[in-house]
Amino acid sequence: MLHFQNVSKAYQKANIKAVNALTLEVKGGEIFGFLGPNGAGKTTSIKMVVGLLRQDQGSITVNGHDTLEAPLKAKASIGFVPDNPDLYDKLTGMEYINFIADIYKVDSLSRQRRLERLVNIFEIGNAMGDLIGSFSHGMKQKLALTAALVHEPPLLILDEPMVGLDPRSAHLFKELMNEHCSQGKTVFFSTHILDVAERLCHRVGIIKKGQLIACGTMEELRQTSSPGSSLESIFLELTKQ
Amino acid sequence: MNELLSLFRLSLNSYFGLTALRIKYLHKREKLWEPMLVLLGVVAGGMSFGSMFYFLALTMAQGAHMVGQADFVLTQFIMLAQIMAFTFGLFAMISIFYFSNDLDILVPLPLKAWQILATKFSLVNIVEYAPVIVILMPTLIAYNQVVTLGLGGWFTAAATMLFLPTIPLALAGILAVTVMRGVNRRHRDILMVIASLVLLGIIFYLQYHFTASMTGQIAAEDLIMNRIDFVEVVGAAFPPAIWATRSIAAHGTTEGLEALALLILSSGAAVSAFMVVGQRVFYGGLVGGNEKSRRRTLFTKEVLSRQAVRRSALSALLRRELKLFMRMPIWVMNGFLGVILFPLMAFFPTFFGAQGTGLRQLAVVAQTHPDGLAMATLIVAAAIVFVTSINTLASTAISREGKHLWISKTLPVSAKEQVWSKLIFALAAALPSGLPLVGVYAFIFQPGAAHLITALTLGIAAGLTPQVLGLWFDIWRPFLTWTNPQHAVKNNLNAVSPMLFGAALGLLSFLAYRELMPHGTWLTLLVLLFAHAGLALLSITLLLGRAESLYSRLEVKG
Repeated sequence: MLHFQNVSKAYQKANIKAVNALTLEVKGGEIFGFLGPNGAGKTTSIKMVVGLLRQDQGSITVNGHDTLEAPLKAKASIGFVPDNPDLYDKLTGMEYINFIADIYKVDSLSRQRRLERLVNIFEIGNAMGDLIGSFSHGMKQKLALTAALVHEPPLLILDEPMVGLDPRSAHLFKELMNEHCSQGKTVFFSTHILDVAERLCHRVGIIKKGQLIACGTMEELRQTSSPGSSLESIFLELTKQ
Repeated sequence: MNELLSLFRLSLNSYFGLTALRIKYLHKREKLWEPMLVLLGVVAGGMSFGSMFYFLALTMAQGAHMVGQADFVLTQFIMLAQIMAFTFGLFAMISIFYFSNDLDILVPLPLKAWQILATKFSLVNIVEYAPVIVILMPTLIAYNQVVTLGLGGWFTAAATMLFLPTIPLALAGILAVTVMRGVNRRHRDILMVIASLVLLGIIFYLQYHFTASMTGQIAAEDLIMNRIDFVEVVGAAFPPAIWATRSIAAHGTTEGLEALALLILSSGAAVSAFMVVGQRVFYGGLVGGNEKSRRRTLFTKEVLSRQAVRRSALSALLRRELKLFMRMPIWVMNGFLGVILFPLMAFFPTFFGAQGTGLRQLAVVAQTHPDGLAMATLIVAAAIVFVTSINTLASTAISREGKHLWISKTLPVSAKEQVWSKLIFALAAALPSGLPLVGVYAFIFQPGAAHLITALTLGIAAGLTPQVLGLWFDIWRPFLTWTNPQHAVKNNLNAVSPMLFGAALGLLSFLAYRELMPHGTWLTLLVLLFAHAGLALLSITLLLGRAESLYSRLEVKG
């Protein structure tokens, strides 16, 4: 579903590569957790997948479409929530969701059915007629998640999706991610909450200084560390200086 | 006092981005051509406006000096500078108190309300010295050629100029924070509309005031016999302009010193009044502004089936552009006000003024001269290009997206279609701005259908290319890091790019006009029309063809 092949990215005039020869395969029906310390290259990698940055070398394919050669087909397969959901303050929640649904060509009946469900799950129905500028951070996060799910994308890409969600919404969202995967779709998300990653993800990848230093299921990762260790101790062991 | 100084230094740094400029241009030495270009633009703009004010002031001063009334020129331009300070200051005050992000940081700090008020007031006061200097320095140079000022006079003039924007700004500040008190964040856009209406009212009052004074409301005999003091007549509406005039004109005398003292004391009183009003209403307004009002629409199946209806991608993009633009009054006023103002400013004095003045007089000349109407048609077309070019819709289309650009970049819609939607929206809003001008042309000149259609089509065709190039420039080099919406258009060099492209095209058109006119009037007009239409078509085709590569260069790093 998502394939990085030897992808590198350096920011202009920087000597250090933000992402360095990243090769990674995420399969359909998988929840993949992308972990790493601050500045490791998680957000840069995600931005390259969704088209916000261009890689300097290597290729990224989404649902079989190369992100540089067929960017629109690749984007059509993605639902994306960034780490800081800056949405249009001067649109109402409903106007924003309608805009996204129009762009992703969601027909009226499907969007009504999906919206009814998602809006009830995130309990944002009463705010849908308000300007997004009046929303709290958590409300914006919920709206961004609704927008990312309204076209039922084969690949859901989330950068720190739990930040700002109240415990109930976070719980419901985790259930949504599981449900998404049970339909054969994929979730690729970055997080610093290692407990969530440990309990939720089928596989995790750990990136440090732009390079993938570990990748696999929890069992596979434990084999590189002491038996029975938690993801937190594995992470701390792998990412220490 | 130390904390006030620290706050002022920090605010000054943040407002003008001094640290960022220092790092970029002095430490990293990146894009050094940018400050050069800005400096060049400031010098060119200052010189052109300055020379305009100089020649206007010199002509008026020489004429007035003959009847011993040269001082009134100072009053006239001091009033103009103060009105500019008030109108620009009103927007700046609203922006700095109402739209800046730093209040969320400053209010929780252990600072007194007056310290925040004083700092913000001082910042706007510093900014408003620019129009005061641009208007008054050339005026003083012209005045000095008629009535020698001397060293003492220049010194007094400098001291006077320091206090000129203060009273207008204090009044603008009182108006801004008072309205702020009654308007919560949801409705704060209304504040900008009110401010714009005040601005319009002032401009029309000025039009009327100047038209009335020019068309001779005062008997010439009274003026020549010095039975009427023109300084008092012109400055009657705003006495501080009289005190400022007297302090410069009568420098070194008791009358001059009294006038300067009166100006300084009244400035102090105005600032104190602003502080008192500001302290009483500022925090209340701020808390009111942070309260969120909700409509609490029930999210029912009926609402869903009515609102969640599919539209095409292009329609969705256009609706987004329209809503985001229209719901940001700062953008509407910056982008649109000139479109309405300039035709009205041309129309009102002629319509309400005396017969045989202004455009009516020109109309008589145009109808009697053989090439008069062709020339008038070209001038109207050029005016259409001007009002189209001052519209900032196209030239800030990408910049206005700011931190939201990530949304556009991740949409599965081609760059060509996105650029096309921005172009359609900008052109649909900018091009009809020619209609009021053609209306004024039809009403006053009565040139006939052929000339009217030619003026409109030529104006629209010639106005297209600067818009397209402006959008191109903004995609190539967008200003995305603005912190408040006013910065997105006011501090954005891209906003003036259509004016530069329009001026270049205007010059080329004028040269072509001179070459072609000997071959016939209509041939000239038609060649210009088809040349501009062809150029517009070519520029649109090239922009859409390059859209993908231009868009792919835009990276969202932050």
